[in-house]
Amino acid sequence: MSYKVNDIRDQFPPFKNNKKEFIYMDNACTTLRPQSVIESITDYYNYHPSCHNRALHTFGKQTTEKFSEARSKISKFVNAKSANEIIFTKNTTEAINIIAKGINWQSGDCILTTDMEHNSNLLPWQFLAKEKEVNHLQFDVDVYEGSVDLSGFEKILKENKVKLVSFFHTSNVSGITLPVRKLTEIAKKYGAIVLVDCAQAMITHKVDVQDLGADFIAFSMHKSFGPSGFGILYGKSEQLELLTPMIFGGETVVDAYYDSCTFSEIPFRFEAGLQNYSGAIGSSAAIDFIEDLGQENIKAHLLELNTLLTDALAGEDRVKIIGPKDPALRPSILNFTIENLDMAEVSVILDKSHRIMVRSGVHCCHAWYHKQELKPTLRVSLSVYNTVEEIKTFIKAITPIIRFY
Amino acid sequence: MSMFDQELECCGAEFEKNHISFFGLLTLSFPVIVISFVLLVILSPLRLFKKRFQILETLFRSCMKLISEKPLMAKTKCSLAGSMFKVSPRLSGLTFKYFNFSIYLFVWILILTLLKVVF
Repeated sequence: MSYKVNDIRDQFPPFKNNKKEFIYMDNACTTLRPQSVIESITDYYNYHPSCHNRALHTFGKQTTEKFSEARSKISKFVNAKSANEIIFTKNTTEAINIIAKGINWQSGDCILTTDMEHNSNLLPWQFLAKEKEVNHLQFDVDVYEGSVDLSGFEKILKENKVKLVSFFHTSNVSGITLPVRKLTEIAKKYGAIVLVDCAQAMITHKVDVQDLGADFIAFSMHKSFGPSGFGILYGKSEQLELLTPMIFGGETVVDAYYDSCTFSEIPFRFEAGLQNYSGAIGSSAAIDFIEDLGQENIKAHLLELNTLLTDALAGEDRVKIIGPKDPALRPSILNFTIENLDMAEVSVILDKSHRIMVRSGVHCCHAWYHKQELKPTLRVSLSVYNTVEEIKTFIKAITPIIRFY
Repeated sequence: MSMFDQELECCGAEFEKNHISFFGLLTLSFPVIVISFVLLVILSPLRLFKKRFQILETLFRSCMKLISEKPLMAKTKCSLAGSMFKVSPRLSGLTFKYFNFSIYLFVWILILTLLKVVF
């Protein structure tokens, strides 16, 4: 299909509802939501705002049906073998914590992550290492080449008792994508469980869990046009059966006595309490939206914009790009810093002068910034509704800042 | 203390923070800037003392840098520079660069005026 960005923009209410024009380029944090997603969320509240499963009335049946449909849709989206391998969570962070709390860790077990994980994929392991006798190890990612030393990765696996390897699919800091299939293949050779943080990947990559071979993947829907507070944990059935639920309560059991209980089947034993129905239904609409556009088309559009942006900034002496020079290796993100400027101040000036919304900071990756001795940076993260004109405006705004500030 | 010299939120960052004293900049750096500037202007015809010029220039530049890096009303500075941007990016850049210096200049003018009134 041909990519008509203006038609796409028409589907996003903030462009119509805000009287003043704005440029939103903080999509790695959260994307805007299309009308179809908003409508599907409000439809739940407007037409059948009730519980699923436990209620046998009309509204209950409607909610159960929509809720199950959403699970099936998400299951097909990631090509899971069964809808029961999809667990609804609050977000990626909660999904990763379910794994951290649910695995039966033994003394001496190791967890291996990259050195530039989001805090969501660092802190659960850091605290686990403090609580239990397990070790948290890291392997290096070359952010400027967008590559991983695979032999170094394998050496760590060979020399340690690595029970779990957990790494990002696409980085929220630099936008690079790891060779997930290859890393999984090596990790599996040494019997490790593999968890992939796909939070940043779902819009630009067709994530096929069977093809990747990972045991678990986690992602949040708010980065993929879906509602806030809704995430997914995919797990292979045999791995999910081995996990202990993180929280207990309604829906997680089929029977209970004062001193014992019988757990529900997967995935329900992991979904305690009343669920985020509108979140699930809205996520289903978000997936329709992504599939209608096609991830390859989205990626091509983002790359076109990022190339324009990179070409404009690459020639500036004061600019340092945090990532590979080639935008094809980081199509959705350009993270950079300007010598002798506080990037928080730059982000405020961009907002104040042109209503350009970008993100300054360490992007939830404090440990890596410490290691690299990097000060907070400015991240431009692109999405389907960004236009060439917006990129030109950004360049027009940032160039004088680089030269005159 | 964190190497960022900045108060960090989880994802973003607050404005840079350092611990250069306002009083120190006011009583030491600002007078150094004024004196070195005056000397540079006076001595500018005397090209013979190139090395001395370099010292003065370094003093002037480093004190200016110290003052401009002090986080003083950072939000106001950015808002002001941001709103001037569409009028003139150069003017906006000058506002951004010399915002702190203007504050110190203002404080000195205030002090001198008060002293004049009192004595």
